[in-house]
Amino acid sequence: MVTRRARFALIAATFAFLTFVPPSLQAEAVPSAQIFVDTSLDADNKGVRVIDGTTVGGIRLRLDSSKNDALKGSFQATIDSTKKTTLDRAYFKARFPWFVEDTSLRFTAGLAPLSWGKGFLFNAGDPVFGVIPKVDALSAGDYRTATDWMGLLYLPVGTFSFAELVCLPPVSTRRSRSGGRFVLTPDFGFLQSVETGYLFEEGPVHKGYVAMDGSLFFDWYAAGSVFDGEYAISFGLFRLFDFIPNLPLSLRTEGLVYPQKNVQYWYPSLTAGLTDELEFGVQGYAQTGDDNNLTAGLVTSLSPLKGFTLSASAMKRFEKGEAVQPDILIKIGCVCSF
Amino acid sequence: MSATAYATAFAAIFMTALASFAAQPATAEGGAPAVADIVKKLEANRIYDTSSMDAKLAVSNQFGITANEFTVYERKSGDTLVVITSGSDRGQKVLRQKQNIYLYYPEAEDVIWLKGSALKDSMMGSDFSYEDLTDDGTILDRFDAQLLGEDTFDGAKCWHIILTAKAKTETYAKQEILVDQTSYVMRHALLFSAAGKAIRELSASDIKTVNGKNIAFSSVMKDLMKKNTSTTMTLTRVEIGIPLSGKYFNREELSW
Repeated sequence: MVTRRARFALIAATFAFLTFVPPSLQAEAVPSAQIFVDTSLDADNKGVRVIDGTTVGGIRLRLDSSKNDALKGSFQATIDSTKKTTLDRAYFKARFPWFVEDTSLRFTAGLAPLSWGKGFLFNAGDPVFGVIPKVDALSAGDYRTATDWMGLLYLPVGTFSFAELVCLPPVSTRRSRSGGRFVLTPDFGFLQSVETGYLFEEGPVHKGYVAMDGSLFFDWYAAGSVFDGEYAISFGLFRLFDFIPNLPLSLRTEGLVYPQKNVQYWYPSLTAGLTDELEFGVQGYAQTGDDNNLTAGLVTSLSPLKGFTLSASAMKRFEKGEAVQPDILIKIGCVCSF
Repeated sequence: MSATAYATAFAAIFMTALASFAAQPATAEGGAPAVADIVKKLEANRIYDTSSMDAKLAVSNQFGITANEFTVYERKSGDTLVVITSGSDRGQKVLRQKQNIYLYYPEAEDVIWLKGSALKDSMMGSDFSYEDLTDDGTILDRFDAQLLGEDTFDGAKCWHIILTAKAKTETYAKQEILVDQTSYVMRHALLFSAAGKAIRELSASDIKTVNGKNIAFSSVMKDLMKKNTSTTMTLTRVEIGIPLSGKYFNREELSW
């Protein structure tokens, strides 16, 4: 585990480096930042109250290398008002000659994102970060944004088909993991890509999966997996409707089932682009089977200027048909990127 | 990828693609050249084996102006890679390969294949959709061309041409364009919906010659369905016929 002191030292060293290195070297790296403020409120018939400890502000600092065709790096850390420092990503990539024409073998090392399988929220084909991501609340943003420490080899086998080999040391987990995936892109339209992968975890735990996507009226995607003897299947549909000019409606629905258990998860989402700057939608997250519950509500985001976004969501949770506390959970956020 | 990034990439490809109308067999009217010849010369200005360019894109609306910069690599097959090089979407990429559009999100280190209905998605708060990016340069087979006569735009004499879609599936049912009689660059375009309503307007200026090709270094796109919005693209570097590696048009480079 990377300690808080070590993270702080890494961030301090990076910015000290930025300060003192010659200008010619500084030009090879591009800094950027995001300032954010988030808060949660509880609303009921007595009024609206800020939930203690949920108001957090902070800054995400990012540094990316630029204009290097063979080597690049990326670094991002978050410092928030609770004095907590989080290392979000820190990795480099290097490219080497490869026998497939116009491609390179690529090596990635460090704390990096990795997208295996198919799915916006549920993804049975993700043995690295899990079938269901850790989500605080439904929102207008992306849900699968996790990173982990890894060494990764990217091996192109065609214009779009490739294989990947990954090794994840026991930094954020107790056990080391390693595996690979192969992605084939037949490009039939109705079937765009098929991928299969395997991850071995010390224990031993075996995780295998198959995922695919395509388009047939709806854009569709699905994944099936066996993780340590437990079967899971996830699937999703997406379509953008334009019934009304300049009012696009995007519909997405996902499901996740465990055939050996009586439990299913569902995620429906309908979003309308009221203007170029304003989106408004309804989302839900439901569990059926042995346990029945539903969280549903409204989400909205407003981006009047590029790099400046206000977002809000209001969710209500029901268990076995009855509302539970808090009555309505409201989350409000603001992000400014520069 | 944010809507702004979509728009940047879209505008880059769309504005260049707009200039690539191909010729339709037609009959000369009076002393004017045949419309087919005009469109062929227009197309000749846009067809190169390879090209690379840097550009600035400024999207303005009632809230202000948003600026982005990007680099475009393009080859004769129509394959195009757009790399956003500055602005908050820096690092995002869009690859058009044949009829497919692929997006790269550096935040997730992921490549998304844009398919089906998602191609209708508006980009960057602009008036463009991904369907426009899938233009494969075969407009000759898809539109009937008619020469209406002469007109002037920004003081330049132009040929006034109407392109009418042969199929209802076209994004624009009709395109009314003005082609500069000297440079054979499209100076102005009105794009119509199937209902016959003008929905977008493009105007081009600052014509320069690069490697024998006449190119508009400044273009302004307006969405006529919205108020107080426009997108201005300014080319800052254009290279034509340069050696261009095939590596720019595959997933490995897209996700680099």
